[in-house]
Amino acid sequence: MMQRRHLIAVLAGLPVSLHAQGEAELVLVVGVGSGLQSLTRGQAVGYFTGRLRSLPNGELAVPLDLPSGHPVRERFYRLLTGLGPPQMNSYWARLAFSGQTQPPQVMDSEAALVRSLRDNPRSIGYLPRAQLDDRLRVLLAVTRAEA
Amino acid sequence: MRASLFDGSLRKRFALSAGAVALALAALTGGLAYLLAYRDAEQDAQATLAGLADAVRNTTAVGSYAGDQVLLEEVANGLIRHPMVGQVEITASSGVRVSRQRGTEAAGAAIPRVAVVLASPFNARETVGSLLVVAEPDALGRKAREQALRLALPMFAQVLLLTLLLDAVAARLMSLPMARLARQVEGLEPGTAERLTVPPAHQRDEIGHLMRRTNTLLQANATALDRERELRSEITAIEGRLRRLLDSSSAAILLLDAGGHLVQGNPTLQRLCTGHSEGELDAEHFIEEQFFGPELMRAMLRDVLAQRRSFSADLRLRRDGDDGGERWVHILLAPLAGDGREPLVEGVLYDVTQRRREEAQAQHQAMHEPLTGLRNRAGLLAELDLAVPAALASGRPLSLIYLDLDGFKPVNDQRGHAAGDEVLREVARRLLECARRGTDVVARLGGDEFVLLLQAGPDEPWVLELAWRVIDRLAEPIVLSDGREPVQIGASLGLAGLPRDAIDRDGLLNLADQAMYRVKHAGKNGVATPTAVLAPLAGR
Repeated sequence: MMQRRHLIAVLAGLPVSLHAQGEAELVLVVGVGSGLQSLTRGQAVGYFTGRLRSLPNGELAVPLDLPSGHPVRERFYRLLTGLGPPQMNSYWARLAFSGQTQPPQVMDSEAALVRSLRDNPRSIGYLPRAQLDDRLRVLLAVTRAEA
Repeated sequence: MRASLFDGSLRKRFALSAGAVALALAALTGGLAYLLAYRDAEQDAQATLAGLADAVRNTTAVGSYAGDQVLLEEVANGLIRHPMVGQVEITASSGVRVSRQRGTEAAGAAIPRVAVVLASPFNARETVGSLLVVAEPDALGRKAREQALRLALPMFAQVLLLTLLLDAVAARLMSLPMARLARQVEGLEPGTAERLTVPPAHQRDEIGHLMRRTNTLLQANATALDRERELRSEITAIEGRLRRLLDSSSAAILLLDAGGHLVQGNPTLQRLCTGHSEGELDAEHFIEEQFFGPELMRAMLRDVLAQRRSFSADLRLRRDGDDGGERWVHILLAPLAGDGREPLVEGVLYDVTQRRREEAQAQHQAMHEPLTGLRNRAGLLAELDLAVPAALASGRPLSLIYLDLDGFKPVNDQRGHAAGDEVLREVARRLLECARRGTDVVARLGGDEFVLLLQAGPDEPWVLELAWRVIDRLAEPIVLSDGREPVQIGASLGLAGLPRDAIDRDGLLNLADQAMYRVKHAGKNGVATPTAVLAPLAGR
């Protein structure tokens, strides 16, 4: 199973890997106004799979996604959950049935995502490290999921 | 035939037995099939549950991971809708718990169940909950029953069909032919010439054998009946001949039992006893009514029975003949060859009245002389032979008078033999007049010699008186039928007594004879004893 996942990761993520190696790492970020200071990797997965919905201060968390098919988005989920877009779609399709668990809010672009992070302290998002600015705070560096 | 279910008809019994076997087989098959089917159903259920659990594993894991109650309920609802599922329980680590149950809770651990540990969709090592699916016991039983029925029903149907088929075969081969045979035999009369015809289909089987045996039996029966019929007619013929023989026999034939009762008698007996053919003899009192001396007949009967041999005798019948004469029968009684039953005595009776009459006549002729009808010498001797011993035994004396006529010869010579005979007859008449009728015997020894035998002693006065009266009477003239002058004769008498003068017959006769000659020599017309010539009694 593991080997297979590695294989898929290797094959599917071949250009990404090249890109990742060539480009920057991804980070999980919030606005500086956010109450969140740090986040474990499991908590990160929880917020982006609908398992965790509230912030430590009790407010409803608002995870933000990039549009479907966006390379960063694909890379993010692959790194965080080890699942590719079809698997993730399947996951959300199951939960969409009940309507209880909402997927992250989809932003039109990275710029819109950044804007939303700045404006809403409850938002959580992900970005390539290179696009960070001083109004954003890094909670976790999204690296390859450990086996 | 009665229409009871258990009336014992072979066919019905066969059908019932076969039906019972069919039911038993079906029940056994059903039971076994149920057990096997139940096990199969358990395995099926296990596999089904495993498959179901596998199918919903991921969705359940997602629901459990996300703590999505609605999703988990939907999964549980979906599972419980499956007919094999009796209970569903999903427990998520987040605390969400969904439970679905159909009917009653499954009892016992034997019910198939599948428990699945749910791993996180994002981390295989993280457990996010568990899924338990338990089978529906009713469904298991139902499925097992269905399967068992599916096995047992065709089996039952098959056996039932086979039973019907066998019944039909049995009926065709056995019951119907036997019923037909029974009807045929029922219609047969004893001794019939009819025979059963063996159908070609049964030539070689038991039915055919039975029919042939029946025919043999019928044949034997008919033969026996024929023989019996022949024998019976033969016996009837013999019986008829014997009856004719008996009926036409001139001898009276009778059959008596030990008590002397008349068991049977032929018509001749009837005629002999009653004089005519009609009426019935009194069987109960036969001996007493028919025989003059019944005790003799009874004694004979006793002797016959006791000694088992025949006895015969002449017996006088009670009923006299139409002429007033005695009727006698010679009867021969013999024991009937006994066959172990009550002893019987057969008797043959001949009417011997005529013979006896002739015998009596002959005897009378032998003892009497025809001219006077008086006893002759033999008759006298016979009387003496009776009287002498009786007198000696009783002590009552006898007297014998020997009488010789005087002057008879000249009558005979001068007037002829017929006149002589006439004289002798008159003498006899006068002697009988003088004698005491009944007790005294008068005899003519021949010629002109007579004897009187008296039942009294010679010294008795009336004996002497009688002697002198005889002399007087004979001295009276005798008128003969020739019309000539009467004849004058006389008599000389010799008187001897027993036991005074002699003690035996011949002695008595000789002494009286000698005494008579004494009178002849002394001048005739007188009486003498062996010792003296008596003087005429005084007063004459």
